[in-house]
Amino acid sequence: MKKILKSKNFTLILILIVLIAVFSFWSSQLGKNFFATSTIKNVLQAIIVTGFLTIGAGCLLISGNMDIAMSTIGCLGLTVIGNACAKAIPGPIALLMMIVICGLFGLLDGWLVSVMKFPSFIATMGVSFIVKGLTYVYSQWWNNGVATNVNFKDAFIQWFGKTNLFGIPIGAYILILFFVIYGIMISKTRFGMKMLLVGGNPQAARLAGINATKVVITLFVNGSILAGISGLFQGARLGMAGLTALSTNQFTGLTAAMIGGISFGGGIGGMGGALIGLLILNTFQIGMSVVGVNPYWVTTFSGILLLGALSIDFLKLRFASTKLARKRRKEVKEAGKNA
Amino acid sequence: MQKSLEFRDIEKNYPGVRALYGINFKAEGGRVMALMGENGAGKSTLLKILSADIQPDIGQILINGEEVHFQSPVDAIRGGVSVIYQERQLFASLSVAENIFCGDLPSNKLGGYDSRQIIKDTKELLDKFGLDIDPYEKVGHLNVAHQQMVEIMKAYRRNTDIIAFDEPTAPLTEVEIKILFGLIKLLKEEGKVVLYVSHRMNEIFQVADDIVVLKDGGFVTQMKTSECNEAMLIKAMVGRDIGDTYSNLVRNTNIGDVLLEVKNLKTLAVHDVSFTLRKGEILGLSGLVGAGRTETVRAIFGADAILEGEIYLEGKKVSFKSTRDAIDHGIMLCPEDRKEQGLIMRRTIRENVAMPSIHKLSHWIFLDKKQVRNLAEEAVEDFDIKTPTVEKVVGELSGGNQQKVILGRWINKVVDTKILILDEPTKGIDVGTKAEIYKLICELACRGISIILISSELTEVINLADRVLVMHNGHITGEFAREDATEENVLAAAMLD
Amino acid sequence: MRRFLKQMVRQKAFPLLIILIVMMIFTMVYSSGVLKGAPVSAMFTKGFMSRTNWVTNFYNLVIQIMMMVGLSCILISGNFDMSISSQATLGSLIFAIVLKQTWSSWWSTILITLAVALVFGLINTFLVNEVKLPAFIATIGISSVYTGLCNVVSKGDNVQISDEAIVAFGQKTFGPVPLMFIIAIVILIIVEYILFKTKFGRSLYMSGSNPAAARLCGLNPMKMRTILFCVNSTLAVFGGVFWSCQTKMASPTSIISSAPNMTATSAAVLGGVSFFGGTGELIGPLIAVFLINIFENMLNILHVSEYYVIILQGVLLIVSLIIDYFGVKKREAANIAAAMAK
Repeated sequence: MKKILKSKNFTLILILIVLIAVFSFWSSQLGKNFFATSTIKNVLQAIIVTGFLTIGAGCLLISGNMDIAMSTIGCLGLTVIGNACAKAIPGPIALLMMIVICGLFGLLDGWLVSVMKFPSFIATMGVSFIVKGLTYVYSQWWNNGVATNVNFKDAFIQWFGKTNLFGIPIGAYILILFFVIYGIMISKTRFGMKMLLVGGNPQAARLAGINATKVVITLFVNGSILAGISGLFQGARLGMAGLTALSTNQFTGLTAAMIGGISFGGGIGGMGGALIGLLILNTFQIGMSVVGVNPYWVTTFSGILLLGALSIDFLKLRFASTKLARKRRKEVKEAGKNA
Repeated sequence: MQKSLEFRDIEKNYPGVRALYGINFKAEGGRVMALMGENGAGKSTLLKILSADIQPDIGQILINGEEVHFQSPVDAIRGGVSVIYQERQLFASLSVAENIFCGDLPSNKLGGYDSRQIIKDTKELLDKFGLDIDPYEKVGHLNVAHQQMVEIMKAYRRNTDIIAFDEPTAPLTEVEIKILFGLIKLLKEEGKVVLYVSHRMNEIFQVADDIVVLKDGGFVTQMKTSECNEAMLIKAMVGRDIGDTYSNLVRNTNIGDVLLEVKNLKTLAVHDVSFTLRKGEILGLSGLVGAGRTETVRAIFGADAILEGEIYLEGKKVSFKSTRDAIDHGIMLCPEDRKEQGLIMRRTIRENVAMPSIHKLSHWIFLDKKQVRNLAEEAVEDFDIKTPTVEKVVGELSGGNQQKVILGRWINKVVDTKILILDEPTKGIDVGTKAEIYKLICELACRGISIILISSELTEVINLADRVLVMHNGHITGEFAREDATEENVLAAAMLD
Repeated sequence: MRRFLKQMVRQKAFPLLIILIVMMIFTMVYSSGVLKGAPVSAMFTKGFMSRTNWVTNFYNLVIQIMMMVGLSCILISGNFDMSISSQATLGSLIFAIVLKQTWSSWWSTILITLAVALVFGLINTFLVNEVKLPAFIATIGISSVYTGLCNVVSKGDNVQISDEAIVAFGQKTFGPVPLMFIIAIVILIIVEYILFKTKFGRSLYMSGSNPAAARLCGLNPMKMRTILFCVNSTLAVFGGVFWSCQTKMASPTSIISSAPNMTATSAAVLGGVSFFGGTGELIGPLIAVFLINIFENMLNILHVSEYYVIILQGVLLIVSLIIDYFGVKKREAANIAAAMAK
């Protein structure tokens, strides 16, 4: 019992509950209902879209990397699906196309970071520009030279966005399923163990026979395909593939994962924490808009949250090493006395 | 006024290790004092204390008769101490002149500076010593020998009373060595105190006036060069009372056939190495730092690329594309740098032990957590790792226990180790744990596991190994069977030019 | 002088200069219609060489050059600042908004904007020196905060600039060369001088190429960072201000979408400034930035889709990273080989 109380996830759930309480009280004071169906619907949609990004970002974070290009790859994925369906290509094929194309860019990211050993931020930033441009070019290609948002109708694809089970969009169920699967993967499979080890010390992992390159590339491809799925859910509900889809979500996945306790190269957080982090982040954002805070302040606060999450992460690591250093110095004094 | 440098009662300890104790000697100005001793004797530590890179636990330094307390390296330089280390502290993209005068760039009121003045001064300096270096040239474009000379010029220019050299001739050719010795002569004439750390006997006898020998962190003796010879020096550097440490070890008398054969191995740092290893044999690999021992074993382990040469395991030619390959063939490596390359400091004992065996410890894609836990717990028991639980983060363990975790990773029920490579396994470990590790090494040999032991501690290598190979500069310069190996002849082979 | 020229030829950027000249000639010829029978003199007046084309190029170059100068100094000294784009946007928005106020005049607005830029620089310094965040991470983080603030301050709209003096400044040209371009070049020359002819400038190189040795020489990295971040922020912010002066409005999105920081970064690295610090200067990057712009210009004239240009920016960044990386690897290998040869 004590262990549960002390765990990080419990603290996070507490924060979530407090946030919900604060917002519902605040909004009721303003005559608005925090729990209105429209709010819940919006929260869920946002959670579904950013959720898949969070899973991808979280996995990469554990292995000590980040992928800035995820949101642009997701947008490309949606564009692929949208244009394919608009030209009457069957849904499942469109989905396959998306997976392949997104996967390819994940491969590029992974290669740049793991084989060429470029810092992941810069390399993926470069790729994100390439992908952004390619999204427009791709759109031009499929639309007689005009890059445009595309409306499409496809039963298969839109099933993902329109279906509700017990009033909750099917995407939410799929997301939870994914969280569970990935959570199990990280904590119970051998690949999950390798992820943690590579993130902790890639050099030592290599010298212990672990193929760090393979692990990292797999995770980048994984992240990109998840981004594509994210794009899918973004557009499936209304049947629209916009050219700027997901553009506000560049760091959302990363922020949510970090709030959830996952830090660069492992840390104590797992998918559970990331899920709660995701909920906290989205509740915060939607709560602010319900209460009527200027939406632009919301993005600012999200930025501050990211900065805060990053800082805490780094401070944590540094604190751990200074604690260790202090311990070492004590040991030396003892050794000196006893020698 | 006679310049002098004196160390009084200098002592420095690290967790479990006594790096220096009872260091007492005085170096006079106008004379060159050589500092000798084998690896780990404490020479580098003493130099670091002199340059205020680290602080002594006890003791004082006196310069020109007065006690000094330098808080930082910058302090030390200002206080008149220049230490020229083996790793160059130069700025690759700046010119020779700027490097030599760094820290003292002449500036006018606006902060601007005229390079012409320092170019002129540099040219004078270089000409004075007959160095053919262009003062405008970017240091990064110079060859290593010239870079070292620039480093030396930098220190000379500071005109400090005390100047210490740490293995200065390693990157130099004959031409520059002559220039260096000329420079040292000049320093002597100027009355400066010169400290000279080197392993090269012939140089010591050429340039030093006095010699101080350190051993195992302690002061052994101080002699005038004119009153001693090479044999006396080597004897002073080695020759220790090993007590019972090695007498209780059970040797493997049943050494088998040739298990590993390495022919003409060549990598970036290894020039031409060939040797054999028998089953159940402990092969010691000795030599000075930089001889290429670690690079050799890394190549065998599949961690570094092999340029030329062949490796035969049990008679069959093998070529390892990765460490995984080597591990699957039964070759295991405990790296030299425990913390950076051996362990994942943030993770638990359990995870570190399981690292190479993940596939063997799982059913299909799922990790068998119970098996993993058992493996770690067995390791803790077998190796007597001092920890209440296998969930303890490895970074919190002492050096000795950390090393045991790495050993536990390679020696357990799941891993089939044929050859265990240990690279400096007892570095920074207390005496008690060292004895445990020695016992373990002999036990493993008795079990039929072959061991390659890299160690800079001569006593260790000589008393544990069945055969000792000595390396120098990427070549093997000596091979001794245990009966013939003495610290003297191993050290001599290690210093062989 | 001879030595200077010799060094210039050795620079990484020299081949870039050649490529630049070749491209310019090609575009000149192609775009002027000379191949289709127009008189040769058209080469110097029509198409690529037309005044409007050059004016556009110059205006685009202004913010890129300002950012590049600041970024180069930062990189040379071994630091990073990934937030210049959002700083430029936010700075220009604040500039435009303050300018609109009845109590402000153009010079007081400039002073206020300068103060804002210094604040940006100090925030970065604080994050790196005090909180001790790695510069990379800190500037990524603060960048998203600034982006959010851009939206807050502008309420999503563009802010018009109508002050006569400022508009006149924005439009002033000498022939095809805008005044602000000249200012940018002058700044570049001044900074280049500082880099090579002052103690402070040399200390940047020292700090970047070997921080441990730099400390031994008595250099103080924290003080350096304060100065550098403030200067860099000033350059980025005023680059954004110049941009808005010319377009007569401050926009929360236009700078971020045309990504001059990408061009500036790629140009810096292509021109010899290493991500790893310690090397580089400004003439090479200047040539590189011209090259990139002329290249895009060429693509435009050849009627290549503008979206390829965005792809190009990403590709360029990665290519310049690869070149930089191989440069470092070559140096390392050379060192090992040299050590072994002994």
